[in-house]
Parts: sequence; C-alpha cells; structure tokens
Amino acid sequence: MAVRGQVNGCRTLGVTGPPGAGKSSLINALVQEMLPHYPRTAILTVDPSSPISGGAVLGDRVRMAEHSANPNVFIRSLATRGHLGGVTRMTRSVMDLLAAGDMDLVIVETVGTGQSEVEVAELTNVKIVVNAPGLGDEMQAIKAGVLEIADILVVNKSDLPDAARTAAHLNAMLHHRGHDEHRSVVCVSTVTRDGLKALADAIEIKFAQLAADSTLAVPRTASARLLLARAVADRAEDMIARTVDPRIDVLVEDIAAGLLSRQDGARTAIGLLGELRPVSNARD
Amino acid sequence: MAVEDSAYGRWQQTVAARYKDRSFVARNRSGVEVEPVYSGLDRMGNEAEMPGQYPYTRGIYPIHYQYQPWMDLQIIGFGLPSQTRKRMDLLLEQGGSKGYFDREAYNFIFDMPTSMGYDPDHPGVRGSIGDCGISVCKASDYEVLLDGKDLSKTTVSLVLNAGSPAMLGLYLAAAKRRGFAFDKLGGNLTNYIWDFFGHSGGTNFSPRGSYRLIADIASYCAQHVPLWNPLTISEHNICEAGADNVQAVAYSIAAIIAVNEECVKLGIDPDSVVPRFGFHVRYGENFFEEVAKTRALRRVYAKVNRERFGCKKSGSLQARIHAQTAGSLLTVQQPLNNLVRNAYGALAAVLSGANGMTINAYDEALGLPTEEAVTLSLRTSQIIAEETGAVQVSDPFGGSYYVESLTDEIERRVFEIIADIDDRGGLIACIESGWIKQQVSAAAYKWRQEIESGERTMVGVNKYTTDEPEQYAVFKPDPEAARLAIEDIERHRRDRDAARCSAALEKLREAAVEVSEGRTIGSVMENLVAAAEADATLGEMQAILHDVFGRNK
Amino acid sequence: MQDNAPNPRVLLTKSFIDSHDRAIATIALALRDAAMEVVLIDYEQPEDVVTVALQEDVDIIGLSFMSGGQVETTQKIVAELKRRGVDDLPLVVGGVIRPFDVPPLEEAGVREIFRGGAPLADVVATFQRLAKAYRGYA
Repeated sequence: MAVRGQVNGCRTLGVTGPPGAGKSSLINALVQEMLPHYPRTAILTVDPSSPISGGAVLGDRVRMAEHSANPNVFIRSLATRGHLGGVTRMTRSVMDLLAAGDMDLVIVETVGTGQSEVEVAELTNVKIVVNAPGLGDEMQAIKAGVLEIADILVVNKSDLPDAARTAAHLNAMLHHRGHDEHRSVVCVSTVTRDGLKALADAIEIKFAQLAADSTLAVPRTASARLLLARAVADRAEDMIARTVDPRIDVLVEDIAAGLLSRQDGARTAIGLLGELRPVSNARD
Repeated sequence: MAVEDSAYGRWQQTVAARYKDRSFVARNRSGVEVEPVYSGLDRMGNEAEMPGQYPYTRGIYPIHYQYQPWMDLQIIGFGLPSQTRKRMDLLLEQGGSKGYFDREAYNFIFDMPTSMGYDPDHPGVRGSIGDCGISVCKASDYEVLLDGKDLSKTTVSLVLNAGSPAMLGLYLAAAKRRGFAFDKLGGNLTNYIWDFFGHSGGTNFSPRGSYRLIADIASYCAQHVPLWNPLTISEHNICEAGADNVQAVAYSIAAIIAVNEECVKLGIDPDSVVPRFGFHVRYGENFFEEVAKTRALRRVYAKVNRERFGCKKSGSLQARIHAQTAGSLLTVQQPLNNLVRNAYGALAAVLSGANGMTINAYDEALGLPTEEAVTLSLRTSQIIAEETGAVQVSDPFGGSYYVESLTDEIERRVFEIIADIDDRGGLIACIESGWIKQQVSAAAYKWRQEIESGERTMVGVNKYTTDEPEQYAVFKPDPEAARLAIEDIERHRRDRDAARCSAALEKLREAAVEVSEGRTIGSVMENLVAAAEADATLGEMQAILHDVFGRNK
Repeated sequence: MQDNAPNPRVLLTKSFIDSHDRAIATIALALRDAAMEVVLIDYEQPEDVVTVALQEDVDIIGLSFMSGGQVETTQKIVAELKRRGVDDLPLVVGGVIRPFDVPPLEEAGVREIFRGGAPLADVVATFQRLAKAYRGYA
C-alpha cells in the first residue's frame, strides 16, 4: 500500500523546531484553527529513544490535552527507536495507515535538534519550522539543515518582547540567501491566539500550490544532499551498533583500551561497512 | 604558619599513617564532598558576622527565640469547612495554633480541586473533594470555618497552588463582610502559582501569567492589606519534587529574581513589596546540610536583593523562613520511625533559626493524619522549644568549621546555578524549555536509585526491615463530603443575585486584560475581592484568570 | 537476553489537579531505562485515560494517586475499559493507597498496588510481566 498526501486528499504537515519553541502547544492551538476544514486530524509526535536502553519518555501529549476527548483527533506518540532509518520507515508506515484510514490531515512533530528530523519532515507535504525568542543563541537554535526544509518559518510566543528581534533575525537569514528566496516568517502566540489564523492560511496556500504543482513535493537539491548524508550516517551507526562482526569488535576494544583513535577506527570501519550484516530486533 | 606545622597538618599525617590510603570523604545530598573533620584552615580571613546583620547568614534578628519563639503552624484541613473547624478547636485546646504575640494561627491546606482553583461540581474532580484538604469555593465558607474568630487577631495561612489569587479574594471578601478593616488582617498566601514542578498539566497559569499575577497581588496587598504576606517561595516543594538542596535554594532565589524583575518592569519599587515575601523551606535527611543551606539561603537572598535589585529596606534583605519537615521521607513501613525523622528535621530547622514551623504527622504516608498524630507533631515542637534548651543561643553552629565551610560551598554553588539560569535566558525560559523539570526529575531519580542500590539508607525500607502486619489507625475522610459540597454549591448558585455576580465577573475579566497587557497593576486582586463579595465562586474566577493569563502548557 | 517480545508501551497518568509528580516522573525514568516506551498524560476525565491508551496502543496502564480519588477514579476507568471492550488491558495503581482503598481497588480488578517505598526493581518487573502477558509473550 502506498497511500500518501494527495492520493486520497489527506494533507500532511511537518512541524519541527528546537526544544522550548512551544511546538506541541502550537500544534494544539493550530489544530483548533484547522479542525473545521480537516475534521479528522491525526498528530504524530516523534521523540528520541534513549540510546542506552532503547526506552523513551513521551510527554508531548500532555500539551495537547484539549484534544484528548475529541474522538476525531487521533494522537500517537512515537519513539525514534534509533536505528536502520527506523524513524522514517516507521513514521511513513503510520502515516500511510492514517491516510488510508480517511484522515484529512496528518501532523508530524519532531524535535529539530536530533538527527532524523529532516528526513521525517521530508515525509510531509508542507513543513513548518518553529522558533521562539529567548532560546539563547538563535543560530544554534535553527540549524542550517532544518532551515533548508522549511516552507514556512514561525516565530512562536510573539506576545514576548523579544519576538520582533527573533523574527528580524530570521528575516535577515532569509534575505542573505538571495533572490530566489520567497519564504516568509509568521509570528504567532498561543496565549493571545494572534497569528494562528494567518499561519493556518499560509499552510492552506502551500497545500493549494502543492496540488497545482507537483514539483513542489520534490526536495531542493541542497536538502537532498543533506538527506543523503544523514541517511548514510544513520545507516552506518545502526550497522556498527548491531553487527556481530568480530572485526568491528576488535576496533571497539582497541578504542576502549585507548590503543586506537576514534578517527582511525572510523576510517577502518567505513571500509568494512559493505561487508557487515545487521542484526535487528527492533519493533516496527 | 605552614600547613604541615599546624595541628591540622599533624592530624593529616596521623590519619595517613594509621589508615593508609583509605578515604573518609563522604558526599552529601547535594553531592558536596564532606571531609571527616574541619579546621580553622578551611575558612581563613572571615570576620565574625553577628545575627541581625547583613547578609543575615546567622539569622535575621539580633535576638531570636530568646524573645519570640517560632510560630507553630500544623497543617490543618479536610472535608467540609465545618469538619475542619472541629479539628481546629481541638488543636487550640491542646495548646497549638499559637501565632506571634498571642494571635491564633491556622495553616489551612485545601483539597486538590480547591488548591488548583476548581469548584467541587467541576466534572472530573469528584473523587478528590474534601480528601487531603478542605473544600472551599465561596466567601461564605469562611463564615463557617472562622465563625466567631476575631480576624484582626488571627493569622491565617492559605496553602494552595493555582487557586491562590481567587482564594485570597474569597478570604478578604469574607473579612470585609464581617466588618474587619483590611489593614488589620494578617496572614499568608503561599501563592504557589509560580511553582514549576508538579504541574505538567494545564491547571497552573502560564509561567509569564503567573509572575504577572504575583506582581498584581503583591502591589495590591502593599497598598491595601499591608500586614499580609502575599508570596511564599517554596524551597520545600522544589526539594519534595526531588531537587537536591543546592538546586532548591538556587531555583528559589531564581524565582525571587523573576518576581523582582517583573516588578521592576511594571514600575513597582521592589522595596515596597519584597519585605512581605517569605520562604517555605524543607528540613529533611541531611542534618548539617539543612542548617548550612538555610544560612546560605539567607545570605544569598540578602546579597541578590541588595546588589542586583538595589533594595535598601532591611526587610527586603531578610529571608523569613517557614520550616516544614520532609513529607517525602515519611515511610509507610514502620511509620512510628517517622516521629523520629520529624523530630530531627524540626531540630535542624530550629538550629537554623526558622521563623515558623510545620511538623508533619508521622502517619501522613498512610493517608490524612489522625488526631493523635497531629498532637504528637505539636508535642515535638513543644519539647524542642521548652525542654531541650535549643532556643537559648542563636545560630549555635556559627563558627563551626564544618557548617561555616558548607555554608560557603552551598553559596558558591547556588551562585553558579543562578549564573547558568541567567545564561539560559532566565528562569521563565528555563521553565518553558522544560530544563528545570528535567534537572529536578533527574535528581529525584538519582535519589531513588541510591535507595535501590542501598547506597542511601532508609531505615525500615531498605535496611532493618520487618514483616510487621499493618495495624495503625488511618484517618478515613467522610465519603459524604463530596455530595454535601456539591449540593451546597448548587444551592449557592441558585440563591445568589445572578446579575450582580455576572457583572462583577465581567469587571474582573476587563481588569485582568488590562493587567495582562501591562496597562495597570493591582486591579486583578481588587476585582477578585469584589467578585467574591458578589458571591462568585473560586472556579468561576479561576476560569477567567486562566482565560486571560494563559494555562501552563 | 534472547527475547523477541517487543519493548512494552506504557501509559502512566495522574489527575490534572494532582500536583505531586515526583513518583510518576521517577517511575517513568525507571521504565525508560528498562527499555519501555512511556506515554505520560494528566487526565481531566477518568474516561480520557482509556481513549489515550487505545490511541497509543499501550500494553499496560499505571495510575498514580497522591491526593485523593483513588477508588472512584479507578472504578470509572475500569468501567470505561469494559465499555470499550478492552477490559483485559492491565491496570496498576501506585501512590498513597490507604488500607481502606485496597479492597475496592482489588475488586475493581487492579492487578497490582504499589505504595511508597516499593522497590523500583519490583515495579519495573511487574510492568514488564503484565505488559508481556497482555501481548501474549509470556
């Protein structure tokens, strides 16, 4: 089954941004705004699994309590489960099922500091990147790769005094990118609800363009390169972590014993990658 | 004098010779390394400070318990106002409820719906009505609770969370109806609306809304209810949520910084409100650390208010401390052990120079305290005050090599955390990003793991356990309380002047918007009093405040 | 460990008006460290717990009570589980559970009751066991 996006009219929206940007609260408020047009809405929140235990604490849903009782809003908390491009594959499967299940809108929330958010966002028709004032170094907060994928940039918490500065900063970043840059910055506040309508409208326009021009769904070249790099890194990480190959074990032991530098170990390991056999016990 | 020639140097050599490589360094709750003994060499060059002098490390009064003992405030409250009133009368008979200067004093705790600002008929709260606190939702409830009391001679402490602003409205309205002038009313509002630990849900106000409301209440009280303490910063709650002592003191000070910054932003002179702010501090498992953290808290508070906010009034520099023993240390297993734990906690508070005291009931881990347990808590305080002689000397640990050194170390670490919070954009940003909550949860988890591994002992839980059968009396709340409370509020809504009440609530909304948008300050509290006088309920007022100031998301 | 059972998914929850979250936060971290995926919510209506449990496809529900509501809330959740045909989904309860709460909780079908001081290892093992049994892996 390959059901996605336009096929049966299900729209998909990706929301990413740094911790503390207020993504969950924004989705909570945005869903209220969009529900009249998309009566059956699903929200997927993706949070990292613990790299040590593989477990996860999934707390985003707490901020969406208003929709808990609404049978037409389906919320599911997903953990990245780390490996084998697992996030992308698993999220895609869930999205397919939801689309097939006649959802009108699927929203995917990811934390914009991890590894896989760019890939996950690529699964959606329209991507918004959320930032907020007071998160410290803004250059740090929005990483270049995340900025690449954004269709709409949002400054959340616009009721705060520093919001204008954050918006100006983002606008300046866009300006430096040159003439073919047409994206804009939308300021919203979930407290005053200012800007929510404008954001919903901006998303609507993107959805409409998408229907009119199928090339929009294709990632830009720069972001495709980034996606490839990330996918390679993810895959390599997974193979190293799960393989039972004795040659890798030797490298690991040598690094642990301080006999081999990580860099040298990595060079050797890359050479071995093509021969490794992954062992998976992930729950997909 | 070189170290090796000193008494300390000779001691070090003896230890090294006798115990070889063995280390006797321990770690306390906050991870500070504690030497087996301290010497004067740990603290050179510090001139002796006296109690009642800046920066108040040794206490805020030149003479303290010798002149005025601490105020015993046992927690009281369950069921309906009439049921709590019976318990109050019993406590008074036992010699409790004593405030300063012959006032009566009551420390009211409310059930969770009330504490969070919900009426008993709100769907979803039914199972909790009157359980673990009193159910209060209208001004007339205080007529039952405080029937016949002279409110100008009664200190009332209202312990609650997000429901605080509206609750103060109810109390003031009740006092006004009975003809008491506001400038004679004394008491505390804990006002834990700023509290950022246990409130993952949306019952609390948004962090920014909380601080605006605190400024509103503080400025109103400074003008109209000058003897009222409108804010208690709860170091206790932070510790109980799992933070270590250093974190708890640092986050408490950070909260004061956030309140003061809000006041300054709104044009309120900190010196006009800060003297009425106070602390609620927890006394738990590490005896000396508790004393040192109290001394460090007073010192840091004084320095921050003077140096960072330019406060000049001595009252702005003196941290008043209400002590409470640690509820999270009370065990279900061998519950009588809790009596001993509470006594040590209370003693640490007294040796720290606390101003008020709540000693938990030993059976609280089992449920609501029984009358016997409440009496024993009071007796614990009385024994310390009147038998042990601990009240004869102020700051008895002053000059102790160990306690002085630990006080300095805690102060240093607290300032480090405050600098970190400043770097992260201030306390509100740290609450919003979830950073504070992560820090606290991690500390709580670490503590629990120490219990699991046996690294930390809890007698009767992970050591010296027994398979005793449970045979303790447990207080059972009245199952009828919920039904009665709901009937009562329904009757109240039917009988009141509905038009007058809605008009007052509409005015409250208008005032809230004005305050929220920064055009005026103090008028939310003024209109809460007016709405409560017009028979608005706690939940109705809260709904408006939630709407305007936002919920914690 | 040769075990093909998937990592359990757990719903941990407390009432929206209960401000005590130390216990629930600690248990969440312990379950995470035992490779479980833990969904946390504060419920407004007891029935919401069941909606969330179904949407999240959890294998077990843990309820925390520190300030009242122990029996009444649990009974409502159990009734809703029955109404929606998932009364085999295991339910465990923890926190301040008084002696007089125990018989009605047991009668409601609560699988395990944890009171203050219960060893984390026992708590984790119980979640593990009940969740796996629910999925048919034990």
